[in-house]
Amino acid sequence: MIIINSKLIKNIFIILLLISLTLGFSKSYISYSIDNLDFVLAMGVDVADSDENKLKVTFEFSKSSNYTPESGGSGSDKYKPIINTVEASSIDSAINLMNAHMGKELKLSHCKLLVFSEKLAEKGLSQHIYTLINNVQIRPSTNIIVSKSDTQYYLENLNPTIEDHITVYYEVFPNSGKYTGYTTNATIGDFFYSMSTNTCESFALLAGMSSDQNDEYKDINNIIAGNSPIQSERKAQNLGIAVFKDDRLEGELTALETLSFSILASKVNNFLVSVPNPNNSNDYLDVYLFDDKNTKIKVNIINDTPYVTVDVKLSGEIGTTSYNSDYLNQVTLDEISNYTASYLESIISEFLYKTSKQYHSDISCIGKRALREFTTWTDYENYNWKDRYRDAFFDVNVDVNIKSGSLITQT
Amino acid sequence: MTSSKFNVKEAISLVLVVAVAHSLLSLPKNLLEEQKSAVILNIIYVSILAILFSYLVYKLFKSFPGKDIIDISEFLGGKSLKNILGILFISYLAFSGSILLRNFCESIKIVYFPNTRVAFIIAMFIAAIIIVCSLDFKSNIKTTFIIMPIVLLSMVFLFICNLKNFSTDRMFPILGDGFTNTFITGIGNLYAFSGIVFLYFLPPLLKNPSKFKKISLISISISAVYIIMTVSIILFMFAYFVNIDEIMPLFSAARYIEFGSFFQRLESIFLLIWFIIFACYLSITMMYCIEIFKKITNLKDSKPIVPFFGLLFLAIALMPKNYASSSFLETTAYPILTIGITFILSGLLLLLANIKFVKQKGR
Repeated sequence: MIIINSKLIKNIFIILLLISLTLGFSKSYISYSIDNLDFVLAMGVDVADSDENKLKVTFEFSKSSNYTPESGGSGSDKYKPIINTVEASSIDSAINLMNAHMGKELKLSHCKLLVFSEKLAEKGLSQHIYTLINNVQIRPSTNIIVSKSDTQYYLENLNPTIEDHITVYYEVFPNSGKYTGYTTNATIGDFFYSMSTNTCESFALLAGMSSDQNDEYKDINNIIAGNSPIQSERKAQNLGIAVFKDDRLEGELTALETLSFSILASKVNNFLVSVPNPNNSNDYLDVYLFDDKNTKIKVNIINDTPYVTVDVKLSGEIGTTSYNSDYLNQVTLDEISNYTASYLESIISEFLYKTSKQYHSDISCIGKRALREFTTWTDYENYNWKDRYRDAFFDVNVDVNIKSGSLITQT
Repeated sequence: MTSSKFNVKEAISLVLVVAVAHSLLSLPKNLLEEQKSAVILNIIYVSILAILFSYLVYKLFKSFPGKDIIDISEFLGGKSLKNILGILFISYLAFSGSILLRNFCESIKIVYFPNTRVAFIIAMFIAAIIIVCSLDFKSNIKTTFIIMPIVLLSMVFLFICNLKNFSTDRMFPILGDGFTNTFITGIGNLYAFSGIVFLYFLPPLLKNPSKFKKISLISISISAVYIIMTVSIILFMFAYFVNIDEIMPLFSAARYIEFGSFFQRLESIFLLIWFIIFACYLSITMMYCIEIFKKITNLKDSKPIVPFFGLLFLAIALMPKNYASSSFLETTAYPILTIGITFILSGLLLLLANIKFVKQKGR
């Protein structure tokens, strides 16, 4: 008679359990193994050349050797993007086809940029955004860009000129808006949020290719991606904002209008503006401004019409110094402060009226501030903010306190 | 069950674990969906009701020192009522634990184990809780007590790190879908405090039963603060959860935490903590089922029936055809059962038992 020890049974059970769990989880482990993955750094989605109803999806990869210590930071081996394009009926099927082509599974968890063409954006991005946000690999902080040119061409020309590591460059360049205000960090998370609520409209970063002749470029007010005085080895330019109404591209904002947007959204830490010199009407002064306090936006509904009050508080210092400058004189400082304030008031008002009257698109999320004017959601929904935004009136107040010059305060 | 007694802190963590486990999945999302922008107001209101209810529970238990609800049901309706109530509580706890397990596993399958069958993930949890339940109840509670502060701190961390993404304007319109929805039909959100069910079984387990009042009030108050915090994170960050269903809202919030380009993807750490606390919740639920079963069948040793209950949990978890079914059970059936069993039935039973007690005393 065989006496079966209960401890033996327990050990056999544990071993069987471990084996079965190992087998069960091995599939997932294999799928996450680095040997089986291709990391996508950026993805472009465009309308297919062959069929208007199909998509042309561009994937940008990087060789893993680009990140080895031998190549990192040496600068000798310049980064060369690996760009592959596929035409398919949807983003998912494009990924699937590319998986088959590459012989590895595409991993989007390190995808930093999602580029949509202007043509596709005009048709509506809703379906693509929902698809991407449904993908667990796409992070909500992934930047979303609308390219005025072909997305493949744009990605091919977005090579960093100084930076060796493209992932670092892709992560850093949208943040330049924090110290210029001419571009902004537009993420797919925010885009999706704005698209699915009734308080805001979506926006994306605007990109274009620098043309050889900038006929339209006249002054700073017209600077926009693809139409700027910048001449560089890198042809791709990222300046301005693409404005959406629901999920469709409605229009574009110039660099200066983007600055107004950034001030309203408190997305800019410091920026530079040029204002007329009070001592010389033909001359301009460069003033560095700092966003001391978050912009206050208040909405009152008067006679069923939104009345929006904007209060901006900035401090600054004068960058331009020339012979006979006196930045210790309070009268001069007050004069420059007033010039700057009225200049900013006018550009912010222009921006607000442009989004309201021309684009009917509340990309500054002013609707969110209007919520407290209503007692219930039914009241708010019946008011239909997205449509009423076009009737809004704006009162912009900018308070600028120019404190001094920089190192030199008097000449 | 009576072999190992709990102190106040351990008992509080025992009640808290229910709110924590449910908040990881659909609880904050459901509350937001029902109450919209009035969710915080509603939760504050419901929290006050829950605290009052827990005080009532303490008062009703006062006449039966050292006895749990099963003992009280025996006093009220004899063995048959004791058995019926025991089976009802076992079914409720097994159902709520298993369905939550299924949904949790479905969620982590989507996030981390795309090519693994959900049955394997469930089996992993079941294996873990069978091992835990084979040990002493006390060791289980001790583990929960150690993990609980980490979970609470992680939630505070999640709240603070996402402050930059918050928009407090989203708590307006203040009344959400109106006064009736917030304060009348909104009472149904009492199910968020389903941890009260564990209070019914606490008195015989306490080292010092006179602390029952303190435990009831503190545990429900902390649960209230915790639920308000989780709901606030979701409301202030993603108002679109009113229209859109996402599997794990708190996981989505954790994905937004970034400190420059150096510290990113912290959600993995959160998920690890949530894995542990979820296993604690499951093992406590199963432990309770086993102890109730032991009580109604007069078993002396519960160890041989542990695998049976493990298989029961596994079977219930695998019963829903897909995530849609299990999600329906969690979002629709579970709140109804909680309100029915935890609040109405148990409250009535305690009340009737007290009336009988007073009558008997009067004679």
